[in-house]
Formats: sequence, structure tokens, C-alpha cells
Amino acid sequence: MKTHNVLPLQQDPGSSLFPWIIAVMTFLLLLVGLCVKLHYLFVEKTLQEHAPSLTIEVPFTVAQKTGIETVTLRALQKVRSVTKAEVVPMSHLKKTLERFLGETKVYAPYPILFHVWSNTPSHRLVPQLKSALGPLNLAPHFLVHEALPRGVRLWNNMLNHIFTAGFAVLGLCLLLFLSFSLTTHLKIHAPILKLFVLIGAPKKYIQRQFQAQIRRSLYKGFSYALPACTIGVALAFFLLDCWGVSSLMLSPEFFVFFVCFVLATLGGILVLAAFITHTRISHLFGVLNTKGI
Amino acid sequence: MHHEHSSESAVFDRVSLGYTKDYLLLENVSLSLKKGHFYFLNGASGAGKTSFLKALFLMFEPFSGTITLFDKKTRGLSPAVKTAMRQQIGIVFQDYKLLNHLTVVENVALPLYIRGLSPSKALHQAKEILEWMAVASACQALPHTLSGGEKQRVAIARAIIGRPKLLLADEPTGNIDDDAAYKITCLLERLHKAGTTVVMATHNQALIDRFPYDVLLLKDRSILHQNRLKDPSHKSLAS
Repeated sequence: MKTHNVLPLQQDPGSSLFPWIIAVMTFLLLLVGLCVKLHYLFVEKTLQEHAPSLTIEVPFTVAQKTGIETVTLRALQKVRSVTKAEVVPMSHLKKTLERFLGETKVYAPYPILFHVWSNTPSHRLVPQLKSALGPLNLAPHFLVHEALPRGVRLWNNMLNHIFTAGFAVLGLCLLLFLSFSLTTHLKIHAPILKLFVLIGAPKKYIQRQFQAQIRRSLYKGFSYALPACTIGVALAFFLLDCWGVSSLMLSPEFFVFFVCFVLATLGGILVLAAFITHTRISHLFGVLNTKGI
Repeated sequence: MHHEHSSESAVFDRVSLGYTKDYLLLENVSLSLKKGHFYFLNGASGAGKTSFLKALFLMFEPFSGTITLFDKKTRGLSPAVKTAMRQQIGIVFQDYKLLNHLTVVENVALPLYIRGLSPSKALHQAKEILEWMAVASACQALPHTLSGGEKQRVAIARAIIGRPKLLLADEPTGNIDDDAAYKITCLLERLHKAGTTVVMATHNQALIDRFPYDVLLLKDRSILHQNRLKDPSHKSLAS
């Protein structure tokens, strides 16, 4: 049912600010959404590049046996959960050791190192590898590399909580503002509402007056937010595309860019808020001056 | 099932009214307001005229006794039924209660907006009523620019646009001069002659004496019903 608005809700002091608050909230929601998206991209890529891996060291006493390298590699590759297995080249091993011990102190014979990648968590992978290598009597030593993926997962969980809290706080703020705004409207227009009741207005008629005003404010707010959101998203994607998301995901430049983007956005919001406040204060002073006359 | 409609708009049966039980304005009052009649509600300031009217437009529940309005007891009514009953009552407030942000014609059309009539139809009917009330020239004016008499006419127009069965006017002549007061009362008389039950609260005895209608006199927490059409002592006043 179409409602003819007879309550002067649009003339209330808070009514002109309401769409702007909706606009800023929408922009902030978009910003949080963008952060969530970038965060997931980062986590996904990190976990892909740093899938659980481990190094198996075969002691030099066993390594001297002929053909042990090939047999061990075949045994490792036969394990189902192993996605990739390779022998660490001797030259690399020598170089690494020389860096720490000095050229003269590096001694031969060397142990053989195998690097193994898998999607299975290490606590399940290690027993499988042990049973696969058992018949070869290698007395291997396992070195699990999962500090980074574990750190990323921890970071991911923490950020998930922060983002959820952020959304909840934004939603709560919006609800609080809505209820505050409604209470103010009700208090300002209490005499008119009482008159409505006395001349036979049903509850639904009065509710429709407020619903229409809230709907109008939401439409206005979204239309104010739309250009800012479009520009923000376009800018973010343009910059990320220019710099190359895939290569920069883990680089310090990416974080610098990200921090700059967030700071610039927050700065924009502050400037906008200051501008609105300034206009309102000027308006208020104008009203006061007129009243003085 | 056949419903027999009574000849009364409102019936008070041993009604006690007041703001607290210790300070009653009316005590054990019984009376009936006949359909299509005109009543003056008279009494000193603070005698309970406004409270009596408030009880009639369901703003005030009595401490004891029952009020029957349009053949329905008013105690414990649901909000929806209350709303439906209020739509059959027209109220003219002492302080007019016109909305200053709406034009005169929009103020008059308000009860029709509330009933869901389209704005164009509501405004058309409001203009017709304002013409009948001789304030059509002020249609597009804002209420604060009108004189007291004009405001009262607009308030009456708003009260009668919904064709109420019962019209309650709380001191409609309180803030205007004698000539304008007489004209306003004549206007209410025309409505009464068209079949509406009218209850007009006033403490203007001179004005009451110019019309031959019943008087409900509020005194000492009771109501004295003076039927002046039957009582010959009032004929000279009426003439």
C-alpha cells in the first residue's frame, strides 16, 4: 500500500545525516570485504607454495652403499601421500655446509638428503615413510618443515576472528544508529503521533510512515556509496593487476601497497566526515545567526 | 441473529472517573447520550469536562462502572477495535491540534489519508468541506497564519470529514470572540441537524442560553442532565 507521508521526518536534524552514515558504513563494509578477499588470496597462495614438506637424512655410514640413493627415492615415490620426492644435489649440500663450517672443515663422506612434499599432515606422513623405508635399514632422520604453514594458519584464524568481529561491530553500529534515530523521531513527533492515534490511525499506518523514511534513507545512502565503492574497487583491482598479484603476494611491496591503500581510504573517509561536519556546523551557525536577528 | 440497535450513542452506567482513586472527578455517574442529539457540557474549570470527553474518545478508562459506546462496552477493547471505534468519533480540540507543517487542506484530509483514501480524492473531499465551512480561501495556507476562528473551523472540518457518528468538541469557543463563538456553535448545530450526535464542552453560559439544547452540568462529581426542550423555564432563553 502506498503511503502518503504526513510526518515531517525529513525535517528532523538527524535525517540529512542518516544517508551519509549509511554510505560510509557501506564503504567500510566493502573495504572489510576487500581485505577478506585479499587475505584469502594470500593464505591460499602461501599454503600452496609451502605445502607440508620434510627432509630425510640418510646417515653417511649407510649412504656409502652403492645404489642406495635410487632405491630410497623409488621407495619414497611409491608412498601414496607423497606428491613429490627428490634428492638434494650433493653440490647444494656442500655449498650449504661450507657456508657454516668453512671450506676446510667440510668433511666427506656426506649424508644423503631427500626432500619430500605431501598434502598429508606430517604426523601421518612420517609413520608411512618410516614403514616404507623400514626394509632398507637406513636409520633415517626426519626433519619436518611446517613452521610457515602453521604460522599462516594461525594468522588466518586470528584474522578470521578480527574480520568477524569487524562485521559484527559494523552491524551493531548500524543497528544502534537505526534504533537511536527511530527513538529520536518518536520523541520529536510524540504529539503528532498521539493525534494520529486519537483520530483513528491504526498502528500499521504509523509504522508505514517510518518504514518509508528508512527506505528512502537507505536508497539515498546506497546511491551516495555507489560511486565511492566503484572507484575504490576499480582502483584496488587496477593497482593489484599492475603490480601482479601472484608475484607480489608474499613480498614486502605488497604489504606496503596494502597498508597505503587502507590508510588512503581511511584518510578519505575522515576528510568526507570532516566536510560533512563542517557543512553542518556552518548551517547551524547560519541558523543561530538568523535566530539572533 | 437479529441485532437490535439502541437509540443511544453512549451510555454511562455508575461510572467513576479521575486521575487517582482518591481524587475522583465524577463519581457513580449514570446517563445516556441519545443518537442525533445536541448536548452542551457545562461546568466550572476543573469540573471534569475534558476528562468526560476523554472517556468518550477512549483515552481514559473509568475506575468503576461501564461505558457503552455504539452498543459496545469500552473496557478491555483490543487496539484494533479501539481504532475502529475512534474512526466513528470526531474530535475538536481546545487547542485545535493542527499540524503546522501541513497546509490547511492537508490537515483536513488527514483522517482520510489514515483510512487509506488516495491523496487526490482525500484533498478533493477536504476542499469541498472547507467550502462548506466558508474557509476555502485558506486552503493552501499554513495553520499558523490563520485567525482563531478560522483555525477552529479547520479543526471542525478535520473532525467531520470522516462522517463521524459522534462529534466531541472540547471548548471550541474558548479562544475566540462571542460572534465567532456563535457562528461556530451554529455550524455544530447544522451537523447535529444532519444527524450527528454532538457533545460540546463550554463554560460560556451566555452562548448556551442562545440555543435550546440539553445541558449536561458537571457539579460536585456528578452530572445534572437539563432537558431544556421539555423544561418551559428555558423557552424564553432559547427564543
